[in-house]
Amino acid sequence: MNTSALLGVKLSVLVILVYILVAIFGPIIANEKPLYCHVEGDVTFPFLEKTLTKADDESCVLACIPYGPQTTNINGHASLSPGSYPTHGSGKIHWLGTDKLGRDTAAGLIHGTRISLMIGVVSVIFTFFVGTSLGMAAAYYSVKGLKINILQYITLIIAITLGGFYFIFEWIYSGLIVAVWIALLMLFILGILYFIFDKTFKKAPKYRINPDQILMKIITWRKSFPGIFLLLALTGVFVIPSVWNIIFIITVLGWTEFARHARAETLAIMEENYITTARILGFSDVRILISHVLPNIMPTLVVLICFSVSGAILAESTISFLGIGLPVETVTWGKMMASGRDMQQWWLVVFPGIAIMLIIMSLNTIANHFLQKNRTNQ
Amino acid sequence: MIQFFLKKLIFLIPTVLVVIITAFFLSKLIPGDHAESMLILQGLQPEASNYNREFQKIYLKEGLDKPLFYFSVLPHFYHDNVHSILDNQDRYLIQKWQSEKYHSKNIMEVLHARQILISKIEKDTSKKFTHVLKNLQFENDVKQLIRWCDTLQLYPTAFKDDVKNFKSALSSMDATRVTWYFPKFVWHGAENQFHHWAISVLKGDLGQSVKDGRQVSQKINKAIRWTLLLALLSTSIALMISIPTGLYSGYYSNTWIAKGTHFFWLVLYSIPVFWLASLLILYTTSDRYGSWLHIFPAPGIWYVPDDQSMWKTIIKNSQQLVLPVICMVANDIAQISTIVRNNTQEQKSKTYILMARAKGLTEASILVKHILPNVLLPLITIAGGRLASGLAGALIIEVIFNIPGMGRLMYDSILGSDWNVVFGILIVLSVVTILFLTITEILYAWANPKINQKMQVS
Repeated sequence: MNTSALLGVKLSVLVILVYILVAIFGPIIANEKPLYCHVEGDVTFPFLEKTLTKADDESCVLACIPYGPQTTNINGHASLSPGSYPTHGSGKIHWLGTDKLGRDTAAGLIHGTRISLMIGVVSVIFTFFVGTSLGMAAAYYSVKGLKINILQYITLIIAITLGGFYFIFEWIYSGLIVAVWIALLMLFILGILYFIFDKTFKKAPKYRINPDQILMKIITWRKSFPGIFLLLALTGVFVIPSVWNIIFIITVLGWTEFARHARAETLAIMEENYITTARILGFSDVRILISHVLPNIMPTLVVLICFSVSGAILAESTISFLGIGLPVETVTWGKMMASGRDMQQWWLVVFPGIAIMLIIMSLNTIANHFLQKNRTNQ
Repeated sequence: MIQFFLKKLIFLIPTVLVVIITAFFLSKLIPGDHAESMLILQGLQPEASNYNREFQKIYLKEGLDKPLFYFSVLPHFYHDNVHSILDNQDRYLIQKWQSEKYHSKNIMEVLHARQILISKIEKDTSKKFTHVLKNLQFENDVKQLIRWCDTLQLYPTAFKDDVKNFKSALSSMDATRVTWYFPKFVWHGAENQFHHWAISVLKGDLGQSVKDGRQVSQKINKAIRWTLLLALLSTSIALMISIPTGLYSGYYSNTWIAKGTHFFWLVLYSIPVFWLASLLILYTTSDRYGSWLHIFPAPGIWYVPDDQSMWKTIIKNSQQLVLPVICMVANDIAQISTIVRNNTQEQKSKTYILMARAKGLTEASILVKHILPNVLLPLITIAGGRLASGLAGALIIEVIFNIPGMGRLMYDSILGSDWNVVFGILIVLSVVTILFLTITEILYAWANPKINQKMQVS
């Protein structure tokens, strides 16, 4: 490993740490409300309160950027270039300028970091769990061979149909949380019946089912849809735009990628001696999958995680650039860029672009680093 | 070979079917009423006196009264097919009350009593009860309706009995709420919305745009040429640039030029396409930042007259096509060239290269005759994939540069809630993507001697 490449990786890690810190401490760095006030013996922290309290500047400590991402002020603040003071009245400097409604670009960038990182990280956590577990299980059972008797088959089908049915209608009647509990209860009953049938009908004829084929079919179907078009069509389904919808859609569209890689890697290591040994020793399937298979396929998945986070951030900024799917009042990098492009204000195009590029480049560099490392290890 | 070809084609059928089913159910999940949009297209306002009659006419004509699919699985107390209820408000009420666990049989009785009461009040000539009528038409809370009946009963009116009937139906419905429910399987047969829709889609009829009344297939036919043109142009240019650079930087991987280009591609790869496009438009299409930067024409609105041929438009707007192609190529180059570079590096360390060197071949002939064919083979798959994703990738470029392709059409249709067009595009593009991927697979099998010979033997 040469030093310049290592330096690049270190820089990338630093950049990502800075982004995470900015995302966490965003409301403290950029806020229109003062951070700390000492008025007539009372110590208050106005930035924690919902209402905007008027306090004179001398007794208060202001945030570094004393503007909120959504505060509009047309009077004297509109369309300022970077590093200029408001033309009317008193006010602090706008380091990166303002848009045509007087919103501060720097505050918007910091707020956009929160949204982008949240979408990137949360959606990848979901896709990772769903995709990896399904992919691993499919590959494991296709090698091991999953044979169940006729009674188990029937319980499986009934449990899936009834579970799906009650899940959907309980969701309508009593909300998602009850629905999830119902589904878990169904799974529990299925597990018990499965176990009982397995022990009591040992001599019954068994039939082979192959979960791997089903998974591969789903992956082919997902691949036949052009990604961004399906993403945009799906955003139309939701009446009220929200960040969680975007996370949900990215999860639904993205889990197959994790499943594909997890499956391929699991298939590759299933022939290894340590898996065979673990199976001979009679370890349970769950134990083998979690403590023997998962750690060994993790290096490949780490690469995929980095690429997926950058992909999710890119998808979010693309659809917010198009102005679809996110609430109107949310300030994101893509939206700022779109407004700057229309208004011909270069600072609104350049700064959010640099913000997107830096994080994507850092994630890609780290991913490439791990990729190289995996290659040399093999 | 032909067997392989046919097998691939047969495997396409279930995939296309899944695409059609997905598109259908997505289009049914979209909030909003298709019949209503059609009426707006005809210029009929909701205030018009014949609105309800026209609505039901269109509703029946579009087949919206049929069940959605071949079968349905519903809780046992649900109505078999709520779509068959023609009145808009009635349909809304039954859907709402069913989700509040009222039995559909009771709901139908209430709706019947409600209908009678409304017609009685409407016939009342004194016009004293117009506000009562409004209340009755738009109230959907059961408790509120019962309370409201109680007050109405206090007045001596001509329709006192009907109010009483309505109230008794309401309270009996309220008293027998369902607590336990179990699934009910209803078979509808071929007379359903999906069946009719799928058949018309397979015939090539994707419906009517609710914005301008034109056929969706006609609109897509016009738009897809531009998207295909952009995808083909950008992929071929990207291949032309990235294969030589990738080969060079893979073969001579320790030179500064190779390292420099690799780093440059890495940076280029991280630049979002829409940012590159915005920057290029901002700086190179106007005199704003110096006249020497004004290289390209400003992206204007492309108006393509119906009778004008495509080639004429292309020639007329060829200058406008330069920037979008640059943006699309920039993203492709980075990816393809990195793959070519990695493959070349891998091939370089193989023993057949050592053999070729030992025979005394020149470096150039090793690169062209021995490494290139081995690198080009996996590139078939990559190029096919890029072409397919280029169709999708063109969306944002088309939106930014105002090119009248599929992406632009999709974007405008989503903003205008023209869902027929949106799902038409989704189906057409999915089918094109599937075709591209399959053709790539077949080409790969044909070009790869390892697979080809195996197939000819067997």
